[in-house]
Amino acid sequence: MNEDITYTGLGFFGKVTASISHELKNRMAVINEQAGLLEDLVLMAERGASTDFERLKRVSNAVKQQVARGDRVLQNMNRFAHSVDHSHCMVEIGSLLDMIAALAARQAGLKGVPLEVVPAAPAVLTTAPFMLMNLIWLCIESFLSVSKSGNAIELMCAKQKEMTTISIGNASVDGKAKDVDWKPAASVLASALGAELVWDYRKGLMTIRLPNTDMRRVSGRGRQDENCRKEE
Amino acid sequence: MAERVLLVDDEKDFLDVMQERLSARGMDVSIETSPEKALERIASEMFDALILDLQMPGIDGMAALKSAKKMRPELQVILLTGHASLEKGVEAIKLGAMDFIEKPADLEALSDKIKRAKQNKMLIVEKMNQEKIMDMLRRFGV
Repeated sequence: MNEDITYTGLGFFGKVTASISHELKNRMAVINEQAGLLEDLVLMAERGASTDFERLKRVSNAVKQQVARGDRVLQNMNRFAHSVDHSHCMVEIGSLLDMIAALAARQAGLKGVPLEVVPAAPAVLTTAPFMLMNLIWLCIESFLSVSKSGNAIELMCAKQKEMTTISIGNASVDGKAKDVDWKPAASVLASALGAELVWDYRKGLMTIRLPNTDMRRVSGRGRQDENCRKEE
Repeated sequence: MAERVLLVDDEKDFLDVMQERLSARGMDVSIETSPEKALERIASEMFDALILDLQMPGIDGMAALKSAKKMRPELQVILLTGHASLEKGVEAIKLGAMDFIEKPADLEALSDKIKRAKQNKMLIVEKMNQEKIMDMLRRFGV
């Protein structure tokens, strides 16, 4: 594999893992304080204060909510970790966009930019899921460097006869759109995926055009792993 | 007199429970989810300690620390973060932070730091007042 792709991939993996660990730390911090609050309430009850059952229920609900949020983060982390199990496999692009939006939400949130996946008809194709996620991530990062707070970055996909397109857009980039700092690694990844990057700066829209044909079959390389979605 | 604390974090759930627990320990706790609003409050209200999350949407913790210390040099700032790195800790102390602690924090330890923050602030204010008096005396030739 191209050295640039390897290092870009490692950097991507590192950033996602750091973001996930930060998110989990936040969940743990809240659970830790809720446990501390329970200790405070027990101590007060031992000293003769009446037990406020509604308050206890609120603490219990708050812990459950944090666990549910942490569980969603871990589910995405698990899917992300398994995205490197097979170099190529069949992927549903809409659910891949959902996952990348969830993984990048924290980084985008720090810039005040929401990430929105526009619902679309299922688009299944055989590709390299990790490289594709890395490419989308780089595009999101480039958009974040110029997006205005409060303006969402939209992610869309559409399957056409010859190709599947993934569009990443933010209407707020306007005048700055020409100056978007597209990472050189994005072109390298696009090339490895057999994809084409089309940048429409007037619309603030980056389109990734992916071939519907498995590029390894065209070049006669590799074995196709039929389905890589796996959760353990 | 109760310690006046301003807690700033973008996690509302975290702020609510911290406010409840620190208030139960006799502190006067205000909360803000936005660093910009926190800075507005610092400009118009007096606090003994500012507890600040390092990573927040908008202004990040380091920039908020700089602005807060510029406005109120006597204000004691404790940075609270999900991931404490040595480099960030050193940078925070250089910028005038009193302490730098990692989440999940031990509340008793944090309470002690807040009490110490109030004492530090009182000493600084006292010193600033003394300097002002000395300056006045010098100016009037006493």
